[in-house]
Amino acid sequence: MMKKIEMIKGAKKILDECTKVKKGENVLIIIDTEMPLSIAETLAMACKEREAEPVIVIISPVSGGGNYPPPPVAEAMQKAQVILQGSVGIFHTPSRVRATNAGARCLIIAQFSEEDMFKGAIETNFLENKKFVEKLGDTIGKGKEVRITTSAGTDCYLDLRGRLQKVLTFTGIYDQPGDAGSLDLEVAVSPKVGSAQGVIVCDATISLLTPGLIRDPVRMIVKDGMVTEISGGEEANEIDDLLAAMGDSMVYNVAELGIGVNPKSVLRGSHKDKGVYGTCHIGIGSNVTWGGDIKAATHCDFIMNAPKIELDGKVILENYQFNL
Amino acid sequence: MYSFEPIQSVRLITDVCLDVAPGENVLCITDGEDKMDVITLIAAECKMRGAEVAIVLIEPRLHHHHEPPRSVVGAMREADTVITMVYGSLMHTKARKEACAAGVKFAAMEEAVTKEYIARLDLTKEHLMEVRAFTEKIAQHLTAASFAHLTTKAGTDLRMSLQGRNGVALLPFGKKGAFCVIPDYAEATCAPIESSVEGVAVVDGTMVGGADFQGLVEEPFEIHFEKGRIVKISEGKDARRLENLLDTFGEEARTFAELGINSNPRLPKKLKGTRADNAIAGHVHLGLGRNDHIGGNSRGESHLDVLVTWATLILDGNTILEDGRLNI
Repeated sequence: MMKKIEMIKGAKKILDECTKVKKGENVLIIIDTEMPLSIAETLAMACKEREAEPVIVIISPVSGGGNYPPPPVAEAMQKAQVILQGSVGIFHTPSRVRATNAGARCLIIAQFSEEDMFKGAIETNFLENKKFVEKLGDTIGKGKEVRITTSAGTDCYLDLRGRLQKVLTFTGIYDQPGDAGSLDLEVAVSPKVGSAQGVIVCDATISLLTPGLIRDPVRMIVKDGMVTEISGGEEANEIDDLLAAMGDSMVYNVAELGIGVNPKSVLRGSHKDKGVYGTCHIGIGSNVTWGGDIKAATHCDFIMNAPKIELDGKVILENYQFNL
Repeated sequence: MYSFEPIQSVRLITDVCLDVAPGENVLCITDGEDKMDVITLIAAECKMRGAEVAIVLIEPRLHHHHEPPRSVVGAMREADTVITMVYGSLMHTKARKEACAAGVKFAAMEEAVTKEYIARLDLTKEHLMEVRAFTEKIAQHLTAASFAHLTTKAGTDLRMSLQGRNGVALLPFGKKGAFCVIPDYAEATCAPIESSVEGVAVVDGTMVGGADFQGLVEEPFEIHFEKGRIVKISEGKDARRLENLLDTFGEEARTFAELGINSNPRLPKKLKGTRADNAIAGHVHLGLGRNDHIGGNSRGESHLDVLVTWATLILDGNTILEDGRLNI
């Protein structure tokens, strides 16, 4: 209850700095039953303060397969100007993309605890940090080939030529129609379909297996843009089984290279880890967020510690230091 | 304090009233913390029955035809079943009509149906079946009748033609494309030929239809009708209450819209001052304004109800109700 006093800070930041909610706007706050209602209530209160109209929607946590929201919720999204998305799994869906294409602004607040409303990623000065994020986005956008290596054993090649054009830059500022992203700041690009080759060793976090940091690194072989083999310990078996159970071969599609750029994010074993400054992640499954037509049963991120990223032969990231 | 008592009535709602089916998309709409316990239980029961549920929390509406937020309008249309526990019920909104036109099963809990009400409710499937049989019988009488004469000891004396108009049984049972009031609201109602209504209504019961407007009547007053339109309202603070509200709407608000025969004999007789009073058998409620939802011709933006107590109703010479005692 008393946390509401602290949470109002985050609500203010979210509605003013991040999404610039205006008087008269329809704000849709979607949470799942695992998220504290207090977060939605605090956001709704702040909406009222700004004379915007809040609607809170509570749904069951979206399961691994079939991440689309129930039709009534998908429809509700089409009529909102601002969507605060607290339910995991809606972001990479056609209905979310349709809503933002129609002009909605969407901020992901998935798996937020009450602390996340005033501690961690939310503390960054997003306006100040924006320039750097955009510069990285620009640099990646002009790149042709990427090589990712880590001391844990990752060695993966991606072709950026002939890829889907969109470069996702999550700056934390989503105040224009069509803007969408999270406070787990990142720059993410979708490599040319079929081009990924090599080995990925995930040693930080796997988004579908959260909460919890990875204990036994998960090793994935990538051939012609698809994950062909998963090996390791318990977690490797778990993710292997989970993906296989979805009955959709496209979940193995290498859809994304993302780089974390939020200096206040802390590695904790949640999907928010992808924002941790200087980490990177490979996302597999859906690529609709980049405008692609691969609508897989899921989109799963594999986050790696201390990556070395070479873009067209030049090292742009090593040991959590950027060199642009 | 959390109570697990409501579960019995909640099961009655999801099972008998709404027959929630596996794979259905259910939308539960509410507007207050105090209602969340019941809504949560309803959502849980729906999930148990294999339905997909979403709970929607909106700000309380300002009056009974205040439309829900735009995102909720769209969401309602896409659901299979919509259950509301909100001020105003959303029943008399365009959004509700659009949803029903799209085939949605719409079920509303009126204001009197609080968490305590649900917890204390002593209702069974058999009770509900009785109320259904009863209400349908009255509705049949209304359909068959050409002429109605309504009187009360307090002085109500209204005559109207029901020629060609059907009685409608409003029961707490859901149907695709229609609305119902759960868990125990029942009435048999009819939209008379609007221009035929003549006489006086002495309003001494409850009035509903607006925020500051609704409540018990402390100073009974008269409404005079000629050719189905209000031509005069007598003095008194409740009379003024009605007059003030009517002034905020167009002329159509002053049309006689509905002859509503309250038909749940199991409800306690004491009036509470809410819409639930319109189901207490023995009394009759009269509608003003919009009546296209029950087969009438009036399409105004408002619908208000005024209650006359302990009524006598004669349909084509048959006494259906005598001083509040149902006679069928």
